[in-house]
Amino acid sequence: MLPTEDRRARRVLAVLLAVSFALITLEARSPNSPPVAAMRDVAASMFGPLQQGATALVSPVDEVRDRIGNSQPLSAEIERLRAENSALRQQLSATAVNQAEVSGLSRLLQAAGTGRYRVVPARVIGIGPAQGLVRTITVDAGRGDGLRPDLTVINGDGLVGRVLAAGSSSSTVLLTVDPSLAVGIRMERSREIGIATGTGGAVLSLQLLNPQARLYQGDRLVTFGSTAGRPYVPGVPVGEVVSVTRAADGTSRTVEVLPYVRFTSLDVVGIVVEQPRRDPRDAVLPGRDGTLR
Amino acid sequence: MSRGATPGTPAFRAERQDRMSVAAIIAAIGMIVAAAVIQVSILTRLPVPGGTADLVLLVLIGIALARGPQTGALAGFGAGLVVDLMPPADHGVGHYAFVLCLAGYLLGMLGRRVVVDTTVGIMAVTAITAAGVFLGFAAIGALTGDPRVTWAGVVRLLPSVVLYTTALAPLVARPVLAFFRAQSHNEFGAVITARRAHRLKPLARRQEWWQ
Repeated sequence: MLPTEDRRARRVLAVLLAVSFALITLEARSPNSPPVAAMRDVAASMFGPLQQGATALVSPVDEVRDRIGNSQPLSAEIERLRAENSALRQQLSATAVNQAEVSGLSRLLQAAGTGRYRVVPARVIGIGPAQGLVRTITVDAGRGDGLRPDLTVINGDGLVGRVLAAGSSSSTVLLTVDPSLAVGIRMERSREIGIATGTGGAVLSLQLLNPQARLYQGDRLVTFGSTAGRPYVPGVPVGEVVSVTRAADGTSRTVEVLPYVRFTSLDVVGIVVEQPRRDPRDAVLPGRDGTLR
Repeated sequence: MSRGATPGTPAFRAERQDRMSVAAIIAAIGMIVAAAVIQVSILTRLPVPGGTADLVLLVLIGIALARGPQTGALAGFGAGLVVDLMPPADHGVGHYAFVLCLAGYLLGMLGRRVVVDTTVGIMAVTAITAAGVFLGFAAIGALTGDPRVTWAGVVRLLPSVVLYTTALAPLVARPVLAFFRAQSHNEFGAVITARRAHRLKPLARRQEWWQ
């Protein structure tokens, strides 16, 4: 019925599908090859500022800071007072958000201090949609702040993930709950070592090297630490065991670990740019009553 | 295309419909990028269970339904690349580009044949497209051997993704559709309003039956 038009549309479709297919194949054969890495880097520097802007839009804290910083004291007294007035109003409404942020930052610094990690603080400016089936976030720190791939990311509660790609001013972080991520861990008291793997859901699954080792609900685990502290520095709290299920034949068991970090409400995180000289062991784990030891 | 269809025929009208002015192209790019940024920086922060509404898809539905298969395929490919490259994406580049390109083409064909302009109609199209795009994306991930694509994960996320996306359709896809339809030209080159475009299109469809 519409020959010219339809044929042209079909040709366009064929070309575009072929290009996408070529990209998919290229990525499947060698993930993050140089051309794709370059494309991602350009995208990070293009979209990073936009994400920062969007985050600032929804967070009144930044707005208050900018307004106070930008107000011209001599232009007009009324203008200044108006700006101050609205800034104060916003400050008032922002107090809750502000306080949450301050407490997040102070708990991060406390944890970093206890473990003697050197951290670069950063804010979360983007969260990957879950339908990507990949659990990642963007943070507003990049190579300029000393970030490199494979650095540990923590917050006041514990292990958040590791840096996947560092852009010029923003970076992508892979969260602990991502199914492609496995963390070497050590149990708090028994000293048994094992591997915690993401499931994509809220919990991690735990596999101990010694399958006979005793495990109880509430057992806590910290990172074991990798060579030279990359991707994981030692001693970061990971989570605690919530359920141990034995298979019917009694030979294997499924262990679920609930992470300390609440991945749905991440705000301030810290990227460990320097590992501690000595393994902090269990020092960073919170006391049983919830306070730091 | 000057040597294309004869003026006055549905073919000619379809051709005009599928061509975009520079302003419309810029508007489309702006909407797609804005949707992608809002999705990762604002929507994913909302404390709702399950997945996230696919805002980029909603914009694509509006563009493709209003502008036909060629523009739909091009817009889908571009939008898919933006989603593939927008940090913190970590799936392979090209996955969304492939799926959204195909979706844009099919939506464009649908828009050529049927006038979708009721809220219920847009929501129905959105629900089917959202489910198809999500499953298509998961299928490509599975085919390329991504360990993160599991049946359990797909089943867990599919209902919420379709539900949220469909719920936002009247707020996003509908205005985008109206915007791009209002910008399309009739065979005399004059800008026609969305309402008149509706009246024109069933006529064109009826002509096709015996042509």
